[in-house]
Amino acid sequence: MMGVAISMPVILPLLGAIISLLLPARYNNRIAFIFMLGLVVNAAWLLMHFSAQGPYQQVMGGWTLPLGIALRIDALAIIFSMMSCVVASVCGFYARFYLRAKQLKQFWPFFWFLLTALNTIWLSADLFNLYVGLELLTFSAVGLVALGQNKHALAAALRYLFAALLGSMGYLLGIALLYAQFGTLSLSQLSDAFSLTTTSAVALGFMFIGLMMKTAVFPLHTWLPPAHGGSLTPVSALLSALVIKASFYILLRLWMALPFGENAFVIGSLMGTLGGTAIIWGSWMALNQTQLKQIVAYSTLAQIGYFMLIFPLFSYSDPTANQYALHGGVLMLLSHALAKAGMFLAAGNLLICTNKTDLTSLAGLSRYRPLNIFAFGLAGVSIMGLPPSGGFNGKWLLVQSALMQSKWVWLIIILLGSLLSAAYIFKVFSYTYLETKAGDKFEQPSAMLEWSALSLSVLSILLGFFSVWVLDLLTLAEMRMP
Amino acid sequence: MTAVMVAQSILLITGALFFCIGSLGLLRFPDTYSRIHALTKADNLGLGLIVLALILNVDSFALALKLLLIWALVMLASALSGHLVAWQANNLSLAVRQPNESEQQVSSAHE
Amino acid sequence: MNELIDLALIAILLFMALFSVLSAVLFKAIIFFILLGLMLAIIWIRLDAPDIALAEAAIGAGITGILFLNAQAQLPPQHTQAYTVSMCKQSRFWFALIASLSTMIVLTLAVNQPLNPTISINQPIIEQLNASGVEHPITAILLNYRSFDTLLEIAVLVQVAVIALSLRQHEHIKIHSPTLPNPLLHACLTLFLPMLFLVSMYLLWAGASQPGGAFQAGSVLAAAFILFYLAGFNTPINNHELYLKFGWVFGLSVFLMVGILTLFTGDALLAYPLEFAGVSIFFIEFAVTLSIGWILFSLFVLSQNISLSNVKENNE
Repeated sequence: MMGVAISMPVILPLLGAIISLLLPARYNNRIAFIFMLGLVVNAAWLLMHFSAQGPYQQVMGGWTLPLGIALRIDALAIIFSMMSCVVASVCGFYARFYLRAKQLKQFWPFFWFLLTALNTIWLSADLFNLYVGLELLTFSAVGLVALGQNKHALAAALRYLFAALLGSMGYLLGIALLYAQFGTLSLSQLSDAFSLTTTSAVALGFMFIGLMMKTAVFPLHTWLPPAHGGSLTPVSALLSALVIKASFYILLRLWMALPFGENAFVIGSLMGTLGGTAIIWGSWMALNQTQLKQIVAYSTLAQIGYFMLIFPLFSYSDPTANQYALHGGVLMLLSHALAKAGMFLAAGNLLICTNKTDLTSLAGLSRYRPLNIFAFGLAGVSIMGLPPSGGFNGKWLLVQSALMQSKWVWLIIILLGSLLSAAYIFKVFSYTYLETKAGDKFEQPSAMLEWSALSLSVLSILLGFFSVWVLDLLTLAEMRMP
Repeated sequence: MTAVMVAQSILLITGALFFCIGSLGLLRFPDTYSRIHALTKADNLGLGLIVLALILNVDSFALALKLLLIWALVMLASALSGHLVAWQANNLSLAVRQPNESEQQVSSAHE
Repeated sequence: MNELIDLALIAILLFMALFSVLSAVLFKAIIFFILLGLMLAIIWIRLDAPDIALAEAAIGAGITGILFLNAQAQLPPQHTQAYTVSMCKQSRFWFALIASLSTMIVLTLAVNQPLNPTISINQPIIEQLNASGVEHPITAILLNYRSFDTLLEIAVLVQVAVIALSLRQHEHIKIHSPTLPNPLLHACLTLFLPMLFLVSMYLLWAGASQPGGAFQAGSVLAAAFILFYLAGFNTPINNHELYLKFGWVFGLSVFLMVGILTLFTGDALLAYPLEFAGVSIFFIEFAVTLSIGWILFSLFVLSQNISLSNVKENNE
């Protein structure tokens, strides 16, 4: 039974892709509903199994390590699986009502392949399998960006493709060197056998740089704003909420599985510096934008910086601070997925209302379209890190960790970043609160679109109340402390 | 250095020489039609000599036949492609030039 | 003596790459890229990897070259002009140069160490070869030990074909197919096509015990399809979207079905039962070969017809 359940997250979306390619378009929505339901049920089953019996690993093909590929369930995998199920369901639902029929028909195969890739990455414990997952993810994302069919979308998709391929090459180079040095591709075997030599250091350097390029960490981020800001709304939501997390997830896995010893401080500080720069610079650029979706895209850049702060806050001497850093980081990842998807969907609704992309055209929306503004605002609360929201809990834990270790630099950066994010969120609101003499000349987006955006934003706030559940999952399993 | 190795060396060097001559012809001939001669005839003769050199080394008859089959197939393919290039060049009305005409060549591939 | 050959190959490879990047004319750059692919194939042979050499020569040099030339022929004339030496003044050129040089230096440092892998993977591969159903270790790895990877890679291929389809602006595929009404070509086709099919199926069959396999066979099949198409034989099959999609999805579906079957009879995904391992692998490989050939052919077909709309836009 477990063998079926652990493979379902990969099999179901693949089946969905095949069916959506072959069947006529009118069946796509029903198929989507059934398969997403199946995925959510399966994820819930895996969650229950994990809570009852702890981590589980199975090797595909019935072989043993190091021959086969292992899929494993542990706390991080479960959390990310559930997160991607929920966010992808809502975004797919939004896309069903947002896209034109012809676009929707092309959208579904990409959507299913995207889910296959994401589930592979969350569950896989094998380095090369993660690479294949990243490849599938890249092509799905590029195809989704190119759905826009205009000149800017195509240029953004091509640039994204180049950046992603370069990142994949770096990651592959690292895999080759690690395999030559240690003879295995399995993460669990590698964590036992790993030692930091010249070869493995170079390998990790390539892997980290490649993965950071795919996660759009400063300074390798230039592909992100045109791709996320210039694509269709449900696509932007999927990209910002889920695709970015995948390569960061691999980074986190590598960091936690491989023992670095004393070098962790140097590497962590380096990555933290890049993260801090991303926070400040991303927020500053968001403040200077004039288009709504570009603000949200640059906000993603800034939030990625927060994820990178997990690494310098890892501590070998203080396990509590270590745990706070990890928990804070995971909460930030989770709340960012929910909030950013909600924010993009709400922004898409606002753009439907005004039919223009400029900020100045948002005048009067607070009066006439309060539901969408509310959705945007709730998501903004989580992004800013105001209580009570998932974002606040995440930042609070990170701040605690920094205080415990007296690492003041990161503390200041977190607080500064929060101020700046408040600035650009309030900037958007300052435009919407302006009065317009024209009256209610806005379009009315369909109720489905409005409520799906609102549901995601509300979820990100609810995460603030129910963070305990997530954190309990994390402490349930033995997280490997290097 | 047995006699076989000497024979192989001579065949290999001659074959490579024919390839070089073919490439030289590609560079120096004035128009597309004469370049095709250089590429198909000289290069395939070079390939044949190299294949003969390899056959001297081979134990089984089947393998020798396979090597000869490679040569035959390459000759067939290059005959076909040479004809197709010339045919298309003729369709595009590419001029037949003399060696001492000006060097303003527009290669047929630029269409 | 071997080092000389290796150094010569590396030097040629580097020069091909440099010429390709710095070439003044796009067409020349593409030709050097194809030559780069062929040089890589020779280097793979030198590194004792004939499977990859076959795949590199067929796909990396052959199919990719065709797609590039196809794209280049459909660009409007001003795009094929020179980059000129002003590239050296652009900062990204120097960034790329510095990044490449530092990568080379760092890699040289990394591979200079003697390697003693703590876990030897070659031993179990050979030991378990009997249980895997084939005799060639590469095929065993691709389609048995790490079949999950291959399943996802086939999904990547299907995904690429779907992207190619969605990039077309038009709703239905109206293909202005090329014709080469050359009687010699048509006559030679009667000889070449059966030979190509035979070679493709032989590569597939031989993959069980020698270098070969589904990817190599699929690319030869794609070459056969493309040749047929270029000669002007345009069938309804490659004009209708549904037939195209069915061909792409066929290999992936068979692979997935076999995997799901084993899931319900065994205990893990893609765990072939011992007696049927060889048969399952061949079955999967056959379906995958057909699909790979069809996907590569579709990529070529779907990149046609863009010149038609380009020409229209230029004339309006």
